[in-house]
Amino acid sequence: MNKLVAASLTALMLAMGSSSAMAEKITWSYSADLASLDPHAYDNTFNLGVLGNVYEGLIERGPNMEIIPALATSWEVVEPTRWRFHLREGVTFHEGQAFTADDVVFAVERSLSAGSVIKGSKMSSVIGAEKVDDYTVDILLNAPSPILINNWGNWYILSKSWAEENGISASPTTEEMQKAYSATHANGTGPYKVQSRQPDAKTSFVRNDDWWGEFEGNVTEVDFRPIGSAATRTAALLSGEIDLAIGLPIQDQDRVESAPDVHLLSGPELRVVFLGFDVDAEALPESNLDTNPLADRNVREAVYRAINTDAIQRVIMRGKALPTAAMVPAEFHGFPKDLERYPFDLDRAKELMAAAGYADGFSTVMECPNNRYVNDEAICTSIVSMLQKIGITVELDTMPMAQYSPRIQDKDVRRGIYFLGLSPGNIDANGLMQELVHTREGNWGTFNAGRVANDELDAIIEAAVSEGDIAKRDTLLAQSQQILHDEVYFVPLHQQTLSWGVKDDIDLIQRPDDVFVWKYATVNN
Amino acid sequence: MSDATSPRRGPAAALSRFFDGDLWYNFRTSPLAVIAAIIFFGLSLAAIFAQFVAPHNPFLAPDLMDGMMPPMWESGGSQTFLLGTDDQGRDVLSLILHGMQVSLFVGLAAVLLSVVLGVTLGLIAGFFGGVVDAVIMRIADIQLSFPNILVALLIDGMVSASFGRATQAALALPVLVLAIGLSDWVQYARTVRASTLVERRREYVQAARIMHIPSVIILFRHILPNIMGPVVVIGTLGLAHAIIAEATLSFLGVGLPPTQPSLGTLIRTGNDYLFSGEWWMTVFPAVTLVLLSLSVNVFGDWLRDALNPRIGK
Repeated sequence: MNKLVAASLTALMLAMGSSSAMAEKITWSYSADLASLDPHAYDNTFNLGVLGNVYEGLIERGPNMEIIPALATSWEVVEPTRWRFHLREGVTFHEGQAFTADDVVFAVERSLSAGSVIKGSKMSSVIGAEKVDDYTVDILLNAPSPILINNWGNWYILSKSWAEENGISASPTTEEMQKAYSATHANGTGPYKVQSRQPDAKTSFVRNDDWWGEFEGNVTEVDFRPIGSAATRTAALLSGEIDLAIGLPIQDQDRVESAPDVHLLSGPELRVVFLGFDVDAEALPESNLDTNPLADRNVREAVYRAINTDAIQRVIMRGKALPTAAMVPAEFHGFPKDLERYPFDLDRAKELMAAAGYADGFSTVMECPNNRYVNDEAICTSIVSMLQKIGITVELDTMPMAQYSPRIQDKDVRRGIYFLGLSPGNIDANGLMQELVHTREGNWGTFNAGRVANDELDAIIEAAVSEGDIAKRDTLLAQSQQILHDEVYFVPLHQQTLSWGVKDDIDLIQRPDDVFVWKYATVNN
Repeated sequence: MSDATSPRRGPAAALSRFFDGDLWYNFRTSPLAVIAAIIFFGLSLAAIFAQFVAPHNPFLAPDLMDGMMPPMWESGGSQTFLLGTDDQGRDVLSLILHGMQVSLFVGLAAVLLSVVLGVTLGLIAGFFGGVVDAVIMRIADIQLSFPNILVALLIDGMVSASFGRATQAALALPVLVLAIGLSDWVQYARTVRASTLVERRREYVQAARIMHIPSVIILFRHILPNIMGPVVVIGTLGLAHAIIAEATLSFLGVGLPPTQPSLGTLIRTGNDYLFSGEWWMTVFPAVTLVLLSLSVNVFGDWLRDALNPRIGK
């Protein structure tokens, strides 16, 4: 009997030993957890970036953001407002359902629903989808959109039958979408499957060996562990507890570079962080004034001039940020390279405040995330002090991104000033304009948290969506960026830089939108 | 009647009686207690008068360009900022003084709350006994089975969930007091109940009862003064505990907002810069916290021994 136990124990240990030798595992960390497993519930590059390993869209973005076919193998423009997609055959979802045109129609419908937060960024100009046959689907537009598929790098397809089985509605409200079955369960077609999930602690993924594509890397298991504290994340990397820290604190970059066995990966990120204003003339709630001072262009320019971006860049960002006058990164199509910042000038700022009739200042609220952008909370705190110098008393309200993101997209919430950084998936200046600047109506302006409503801008943005002639379109993009600058609807601060701390024995690709694609990663032993 | 036999009255007389008494003698001859008291009262005075003592006003717009300066004796340091500056350019010394003020206020208020609550419930339980005693003490037992910090976290979470975002920051201080105070009353209640059980059988209580003096008056006028000794001792030790609890909650990010410096929030923000070599942002507030709680603890220990008649000197 004892022998039998001993033998089976030995066999068990051997089995365990061999399986762990075969498993190529990566444990990585970021400052925040996934807000949801639902690919349509949050429009957040990080969240969608992680889900992109589990779910797939018609197209995907390659290592250099190039567009490559994914669930669609080819497409053609049948007529300017009708695009035809030929779908990949023989693809199955993780739970076994076959992927067909019905699933695409379902995803379009769900993304277009009234409560959808992604209809602005992914569904711009889209009005519906039609199944042609099981592996062909037509996407219908209300106006020509030459760069339609550029928006779809992180727009994913759910299984329709799985959704129906689990009560996942095709037309949910925003809140229903956040609480759907799919917020806690995932069933994609992608190269990795969700194995287990403990919110705020650990989410484990395993390789989907039935995936239709070829794995370039060798990673079979992925653990994602959010670590909120910057110092703890660095410590975890240095001690070998994690293999990769995305969003390595910039103050720890030197330390990681000098440490053995780990190195730093950095480069410009496709994201400009900025301040937005609520520019609606109606007085803000909880304000003692009967009008909104931020509706006055002069006040906005005063705020712009009161912010010392050089100090932020030198002290808070330690030189690891690129101050900019533009709302889009230099890599974007339509980057206005000739724009110049309104220089930092406190005297001029005070003059502008006086000219607007606010010589004695006013008080307002500023909302800011505290776990999303590089040193977001520190930047916001410093801006509060800077605005104090021109008489604006700011009450700072910081919150984690899981709360901040839906709040920013809620059209009923008003705030004086807010801090945000968008990275539109289409890498095009107009993408930002469509989401952030166009008056909020229909699919437009889903991120227009400041109630910007400028008819001239709306017309230019809409024209730029449909314009097929590149030179004409570029003129439109330049025009809209100039108006944005002249009207001071926003204060661009800087373009962020990527900051990843990686173990030396891992080869991976750092995509410029700060997304980690696991199928390209290789663990060398 | 001569002066020697009549009890002296008035505050001056009370003071001189105190300085003639055993307690003061005991204190004078215990160097550790004297050192602890000097440190504690020194720090407390500096905190109370932070507005006048602190070299800078950390609430007035700091200049970001002064950020991350090391202490004055390190290279790159400046005479203006004795202990250096934080990531926002605020003077660390001034932040510590103002932060200590908040920590002490929260500590004292929380102890006061738990003393009032614990003593009242303890008196009632001990005096009336029976069902009242059973109910109060079982509640105490239940709460004792949770770690204090968990109870504080629960209260903090409940309060912030039931109030809107706007009021949350304004309420941070009272919520913190409430959370720490409510999580700490059990040991007062237990001690007071035990003492009351002993006292209520004494002759003076029996006499008062025979005279039909109302229970409330017996409890608070007759029994309470006789059991205050241990309460004072636990209260002193509890102060150190409450200060650390405040720092813990703020360190975990559920205490005070980052714009309102307390020792805990200072240690938390500074903690992010430990790896990059800006040690002064977290080490100085941490050392202050250690000094503060250690001095209170040492003083409390001495007080316990001094008030305990069984440990004679």
